[in-house]
Amino acid sequence: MVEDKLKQLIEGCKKQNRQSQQLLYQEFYSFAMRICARFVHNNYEASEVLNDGFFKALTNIDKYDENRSFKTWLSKIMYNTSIDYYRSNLKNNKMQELDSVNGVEIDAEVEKKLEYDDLLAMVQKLSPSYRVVFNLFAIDCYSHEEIAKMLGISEGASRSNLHKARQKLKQMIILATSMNTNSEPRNLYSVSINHKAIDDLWNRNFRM
Amino acid sequence: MDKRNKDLDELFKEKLTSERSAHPFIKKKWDALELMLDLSEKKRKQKVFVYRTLIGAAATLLISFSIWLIKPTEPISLPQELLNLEYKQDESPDFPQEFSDEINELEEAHAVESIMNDSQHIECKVVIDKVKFEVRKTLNENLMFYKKSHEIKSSFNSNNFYTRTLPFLKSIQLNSNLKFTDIESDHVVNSLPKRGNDFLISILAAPSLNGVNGFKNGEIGNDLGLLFSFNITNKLSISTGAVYAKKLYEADFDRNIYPNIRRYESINGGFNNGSSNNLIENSYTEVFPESVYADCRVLDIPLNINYSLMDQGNNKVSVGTGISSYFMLKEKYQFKYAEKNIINSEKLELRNENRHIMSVLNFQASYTRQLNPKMGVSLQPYLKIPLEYIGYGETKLQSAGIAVKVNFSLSANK
Repeated sequence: MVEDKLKQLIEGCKKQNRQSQQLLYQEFYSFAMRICARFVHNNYEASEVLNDGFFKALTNIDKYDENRSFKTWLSKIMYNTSIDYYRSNLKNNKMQELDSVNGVEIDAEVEKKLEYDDLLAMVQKLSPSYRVVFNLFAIDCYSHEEIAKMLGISEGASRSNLHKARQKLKQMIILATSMNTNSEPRNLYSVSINHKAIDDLWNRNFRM
Repeated sequence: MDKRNKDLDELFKEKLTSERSAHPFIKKKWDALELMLDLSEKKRKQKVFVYRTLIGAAATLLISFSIWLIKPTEPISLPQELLNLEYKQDESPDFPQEFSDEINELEEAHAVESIMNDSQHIECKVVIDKVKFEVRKTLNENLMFYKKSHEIKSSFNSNNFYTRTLPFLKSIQLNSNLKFTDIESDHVVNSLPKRGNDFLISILAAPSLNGVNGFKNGEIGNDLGLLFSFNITNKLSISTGAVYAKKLYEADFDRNIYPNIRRYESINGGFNNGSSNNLIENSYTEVFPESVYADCRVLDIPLNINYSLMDQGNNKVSVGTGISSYFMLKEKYQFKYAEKNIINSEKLELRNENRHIMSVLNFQASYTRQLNPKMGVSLQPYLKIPLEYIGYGETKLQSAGIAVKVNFSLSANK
């Protein structure tokens, strides 16, 4: 978005103008969803976290420093909201042990689509504790010490969860290669496998 | 192994943060956010209105009280009827000598106030050399009673009033509500005497009916607490304290307040038991609860002002109003679904999360029966109306009930 237009929208949001708020929301929806979707179990929860984050951003827009990047400011709010969501649901979340992924069919019509949507699906299928640590370490590049402070756990627990997350993700990718390829593609999360694409993916990245 | 881990991390990082991967905008998500913003705006305006009203009311009270305090009262002259009385010493052998001296001094006394002045009687308090007398005279009759404070003689009768008969006087019954106060200085006391029982401590217990937007689906809880009262004038008193309240109520479910509470029902039948594992978009519908049961434990800190409507003998009736602050010590919410006879075990529990400072209006009326000078019992119907949404459940939680109070006077003996 052009800098001037963004400034105008932010000014409008400061005056609680609904149209400005909607346009800002629309503009950064995809960006914010890419952050929130990684921390939750499915896109329903992602959109709830997204809305909580945007609510905080829009009701505290006066605190935004215009000399800094709006995207950075917004992403920080989304991260904090996602982590708050994880912490508040600690008791209710079930630890999902992924013993078997029989029945999960992942197709790659195009490698691009496979890689984002299905990698996202894999991350979302992790248990919450593994998922949040993997996100913060592997994707957001926080150290174990920082993660331990953010989540109120020990560094050892952070390392252990990261290790288990990686194991689960590898397991999911391996199992995905043995799925039946004859299923018709249904939607982003349940489609048939393109063996060649998976093998290429695996050989390129994971030599056994 | 480290390189493989690093490669795995890089793969996910590269793909999951790529701006080429878009999430299409969904209009109904904005609609949901817009609703949250509208609700927040409404609450903010309500709060501003309430605070402005309270500040205005507090300022008015303060100004009125200040005017009342600084306004000088007119000194009251000794009633004419009590001047120039001729006194004759009682020749009875039991009559104490000092009383005749005091009666003679009465002519030079300064009146303190007139307590009662009707067509039949006149009363006033007089000060002579720091000693206060209360004098009552029946008009058109040559009789007078007086009582001297500090030194109550043993010869006084059971009401602590010495009645004597002067040659030209005969005795009458005194008003038992007459009271004395100590004199602190030798100048004319212009203010009304403070009544007894200036400080009170009360233990309170009450069943209370709690409801949201009325009491139609009200639930019964109970309150237990300790209150302190202080008289600021004869008629006015202020009270505060702490009351532990168990507030039970039922309210309609609002998905905006509980965004994570829902269940997924397969469109092909069956019911997904609370988990969204293997959730496939468009194959499940969301099912929401129909109502919420709440069990809230609240610390209620009231600040009330009470006005005495009637105070006769041992009976007193007063009315009052004020404002309470609610500290939500514990909130527990259980959700009830309409269908399938499923006993839903979803619960939400919070501790010390919410507080509502000066956010609940109090209205009460009180009947007090004094059992003895130190102790009394009160019956107090009350109503509490919130000025903002209460608790995590964000409800307009109203309470009503009848409190039973036992009051203990902390005032010094007179």
